[in-house]
Amino acid sequence: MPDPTASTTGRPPWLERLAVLIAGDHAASGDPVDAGAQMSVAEPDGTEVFRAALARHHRIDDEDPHLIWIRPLLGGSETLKDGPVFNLSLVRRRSLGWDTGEVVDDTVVLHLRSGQVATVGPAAGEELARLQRWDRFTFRLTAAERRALAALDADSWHGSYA
Amino acid sequence: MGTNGKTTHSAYGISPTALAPALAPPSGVPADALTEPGLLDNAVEETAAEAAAAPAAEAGLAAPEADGGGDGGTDLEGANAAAGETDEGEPAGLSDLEQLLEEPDPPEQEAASPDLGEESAPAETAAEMGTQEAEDHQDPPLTPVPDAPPAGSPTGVPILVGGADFVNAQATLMAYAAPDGPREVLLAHVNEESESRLLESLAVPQMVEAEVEETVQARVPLDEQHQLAEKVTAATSSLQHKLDYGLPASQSTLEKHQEAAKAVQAVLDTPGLSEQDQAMAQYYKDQVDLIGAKIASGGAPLPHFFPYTTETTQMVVKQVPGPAPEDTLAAQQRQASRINAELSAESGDACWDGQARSSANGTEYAIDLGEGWSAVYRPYSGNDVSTTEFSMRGQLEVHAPPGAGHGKELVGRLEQLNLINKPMTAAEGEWTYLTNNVTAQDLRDAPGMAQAFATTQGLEDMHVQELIQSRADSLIGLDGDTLHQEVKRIHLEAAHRSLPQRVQVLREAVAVATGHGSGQQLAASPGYQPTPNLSGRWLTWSRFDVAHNPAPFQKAFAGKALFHDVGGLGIADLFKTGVLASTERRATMGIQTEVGMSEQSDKYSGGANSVFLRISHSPAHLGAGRLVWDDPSVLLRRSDYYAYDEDNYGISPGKAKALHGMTRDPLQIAQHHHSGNEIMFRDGIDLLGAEAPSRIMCSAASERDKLLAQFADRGITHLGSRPVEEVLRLA
Repeated sequence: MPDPTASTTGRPPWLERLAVLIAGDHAASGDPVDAGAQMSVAEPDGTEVFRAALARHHRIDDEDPHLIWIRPLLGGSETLKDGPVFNLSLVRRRSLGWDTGEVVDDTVVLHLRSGQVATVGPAAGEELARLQRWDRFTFRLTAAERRALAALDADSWHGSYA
Repeated sequence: MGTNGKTTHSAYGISPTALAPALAPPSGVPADALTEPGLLDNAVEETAAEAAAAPAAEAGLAAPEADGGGDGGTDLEGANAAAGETDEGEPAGLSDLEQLLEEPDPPEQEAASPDLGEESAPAETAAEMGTQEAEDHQDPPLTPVPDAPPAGSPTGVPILVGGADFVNAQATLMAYAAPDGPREVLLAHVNEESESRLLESLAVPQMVEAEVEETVQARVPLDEQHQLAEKVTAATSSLQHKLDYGLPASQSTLEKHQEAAKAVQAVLDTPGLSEQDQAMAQYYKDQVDLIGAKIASGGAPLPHFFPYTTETTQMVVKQVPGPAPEDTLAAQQRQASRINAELSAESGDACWDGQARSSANGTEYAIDLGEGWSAVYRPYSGNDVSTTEFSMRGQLEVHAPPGAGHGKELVGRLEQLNLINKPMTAAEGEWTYLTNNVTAQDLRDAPGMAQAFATTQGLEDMHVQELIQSRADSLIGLDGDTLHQEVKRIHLEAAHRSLPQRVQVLREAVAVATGHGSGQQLAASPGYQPTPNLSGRWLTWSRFDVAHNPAPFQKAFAGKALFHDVGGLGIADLFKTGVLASTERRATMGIQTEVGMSEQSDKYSGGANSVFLRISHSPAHLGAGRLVWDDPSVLLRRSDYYAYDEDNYGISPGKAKALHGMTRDPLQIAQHHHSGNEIMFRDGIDLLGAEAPSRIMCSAASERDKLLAQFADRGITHLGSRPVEEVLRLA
């Protein structure tokens, strides 16, 4: 499990900012669970094709320093009867292979090698609600399962909530 | 739906496909038309002209007495006048036939054969019919259809259906285990081109509002009024986060706890609380106390906290279907859903009670086929790609009544939905094989290919015209709907009759495009395999460029491997089913918790129909849970994959090529080197058959032993060609 207080010194500012956003360390309340990150991805012509909250973990690829593993949160549901539920096969790890990154206002803009542009900013509205639903859901998992998710090293999930 | 809706059990059935032994053109067609489209075009025009003129001149345009009720007049006007009908009820005449010849409904399937009974083929002689039947016997189905698919099998029985109504012509027969007997279901993915025909069979009634009673879980009003659940949940979540990271409670956590405690106590202190309100407040008080204790002592995170609820009944307004139009299948439009099956941990059976469904983002039709049969169809139209799940569009379920033994009828019932309802024959298989290879090898724009496809269409058109010409007597005088149906039958039969010739034309074009000289040489080449690979789990078609000569591909992939990293409970759980299955396949197998309105990117982009592997240099260190294919040609000889060198967001494969570098070329894939590269294989990969991985990395000796025992119990000694002991490695 990554230490949310660990220093990220030595990284470019945009990567520092990215880590802060994903962990929720920018929360005005000082409590990370009150904040988090969301990502939108646009085509080169500016058309948004993807938007999702991001789980509170990310990882730079072991072999490719220009690749960041993340876990976009899509789907999921919560009812009074069943509580928060996500499908861990669907909420799979994704990658951001980047050419350049920069901080723009309170967001991080990544120009991806695919030609798409990813913008990571503070989660808001439904995206923040989904992230907080995810937070609650993860405590239905075992500590080992939470560690496995945070490791961002699996392409598919087999077992509970798969 | 549509003005020519069909009645139950009417047209579009097919007879077993005849594979003509000699590839002769239809009468009146120059033999060289098969390879010279210019001549073919001329022939089409001439035949069309003959078709328009011949009936009037030779057949006398006599309306059948039974229909026309007239005097057998000698011209079209006479026939119309005798029938005394207008618009759709008007008997067909020359102008109708001309119109149908000019603007027929597209056949919508490449290789279909109509079920022509005696009534519908009056012009055919007994000898011709006999010949047809004899030919039919020579072309058995590529995949037999079982009477009863094995009950509980998570993967079911894959079959190929004739024509091109289904993606890859494939359907799966499932028999879910259930207390009242197996629940047999046919699952398939309808091609978008066939959808209009399917929808024509349906009558979708207007939805009307109705008030119905529902039992629901609900919060107590006093809780909602004081927001106790929200406040206690906020305190719980804040503390959980700190406990998980081993941190002390923050100031914010303390404040949230205090706010929750204060609110709960205020409710508890309210005079005259009902028994229910008292229980509710005490429930939250217990959680607040637990949080307080954890703040003081730390330790492991708390169990998940649920709000306090009670069961209650309430009246809700719902949309229900109104009365359906006659002569069509009653269908209800509703929110999309999927079969909610479960994979039994004890028996390994896929279980489903025939009722449970999980919701999906989109709409679907629930269709009553009568006699206890039903179907569910999730259409392309009405499910916008930008707001609904891409991968579910086109999914079809046909449900039999409870019990075993409906395998063949599950296929037969497709006729009710205006879909081809016979197993695929060898000739149809070769057409599918060739078109799959055209796509996989990116031959669509190869010199001569467009011309070849135009020629195949022309051949089919010629057969249509010839059949209409030969049956003009029986067609004239039919009312609008019946004529429309008969012409559709003719199109299906024409597609069927022209198939051997079309296969020959396409094979020639593919041969030239791939440097094989001639179709004959291509067909004789070692890698040419126009039959699917049936490994017991999936049906896949191969691509002959890789299968024929794997050496260049093996060279390109030297030192590289395909891999997939398995998470969760690990690989032992995965190998219980023995398949690495796509999201959509997993749902039907009962090994997926389908949740909520799945606004999941893979489902939007179509990735949910595939599993994905990555290519990488064979690494020195392999982590636990990794499946490795050291010889990628084992998988890359399939014709159904596509790949990117980078993760792409929100992109469906249909529109990805130009912008995002999608490729189906294995030699290009071999050059992919980014860690986020993906190779998507449709449906899944059979981990126990010919496509089995060459290495399976276990997390510990205990996991390896568990898998070895699992394989021994099932009599599995080898994966691919390797002993299981060699395949199972320690990370």
